[in-house]
Amino acid sequence: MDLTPLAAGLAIGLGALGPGIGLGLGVSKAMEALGRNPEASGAIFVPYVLGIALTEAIGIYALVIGLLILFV
Amino acid sequence: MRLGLSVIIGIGAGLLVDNWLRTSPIFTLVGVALGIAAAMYTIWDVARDHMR
Amino acid sequence: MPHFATEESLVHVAIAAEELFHIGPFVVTNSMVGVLIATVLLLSAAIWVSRNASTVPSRLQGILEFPVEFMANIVRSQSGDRWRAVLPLILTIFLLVLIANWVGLLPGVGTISINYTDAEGHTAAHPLIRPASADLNFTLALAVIAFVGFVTWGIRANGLGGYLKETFVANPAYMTPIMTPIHIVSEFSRLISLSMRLFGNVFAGEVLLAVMLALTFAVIPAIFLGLELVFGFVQALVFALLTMTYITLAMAGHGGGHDEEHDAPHHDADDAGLSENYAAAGSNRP
Repeated sequence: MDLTPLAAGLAIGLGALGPGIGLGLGVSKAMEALGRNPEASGAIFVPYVLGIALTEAIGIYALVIGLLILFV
Repeated sequence: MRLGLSVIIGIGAGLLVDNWLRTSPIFTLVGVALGIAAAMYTIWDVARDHMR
Repeated sequence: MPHFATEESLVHVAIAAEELFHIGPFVVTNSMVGVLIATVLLLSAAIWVSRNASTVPSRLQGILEFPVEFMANIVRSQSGDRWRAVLPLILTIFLLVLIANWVGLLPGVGTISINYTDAEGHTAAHPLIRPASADLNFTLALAVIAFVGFVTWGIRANGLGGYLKETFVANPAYMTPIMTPIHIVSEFSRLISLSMRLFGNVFAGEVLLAVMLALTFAVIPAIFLGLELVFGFVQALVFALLTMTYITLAMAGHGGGHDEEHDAPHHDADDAGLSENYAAAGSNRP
């Protein structure tokens, strides 16, 4: 019984939980800060994009492992 | 042009040492890193003339 | 395991770049063709602008100036007074990764294939063009360049002793045996994270596009093309901004974050000065 597709599905499925929650928290805080002070959008922009990128990267690692399991 | 030339010289030197010592491509990678480091050095020098 | 990726399957997915032909001992893969297209586009735009630049910009020059000003503002506000050394690398990374990501959206990429017979005699259809950042070699090369940049510029900014002190001596000195391995590992993990982030995003986008084009039709794949457009831009921006952040961290030492000396609005007074300085710097091309 070949468990490879199950492994790949679990890899990306479970791996998307963490970044999903993390991104939601981060973006909500950024929106909150922007709502309080709309002129700070220039100051918020760079740390916001960096925060999203670093959080998303964890999900991308899970995706790459899933693809590696399936295709290599 | 100095930038590309320093990287190519670094890679070439690394390849030469590899062929001479017949090791695994470690020296090529070291040559790549040194070539890039030399290019970065050059960027800093070029920018420094405009930084002062 | 490889039985998911044979010619009988619906979608052709290959993680490694596929070879097209050999020139002597040198193998040309399809992502090399992709990066060649991106580089030719960028170089021709750059040569055109540097020859026909005028103070009153034409439309093409205005389009090409837009990412330069955008990144220059961000780099100037983040990197302090050493931004002139940081800006060329960051801008090059941003533009190259942007064009390399968007090559994957052109018609004919991934669909036009040639038949390739490898050493054992298996014939397979390999796509002719593949976006460069879907190849781990390309992203790893960019990450290595960025990493060598952090180290070299950190040494030049703080001196060799200063850089070694940052790396090997932690801030409260008694924490050194714990913090030093963590610090070194985190520096090397930047290599892996930078390359894997870009590779994973672009490669997953390619797979997504291929699956959507195979399963659905008409308008629906176009939505995913738009998604890929946005993601390509965001990933290019993120790579460049992360590199800039790490370089700023390496150059400044760790005495307080660079956010404290971030004074936002003095862009407008400097905008006129920016183009003049770069016009003067054009005569000093190495």
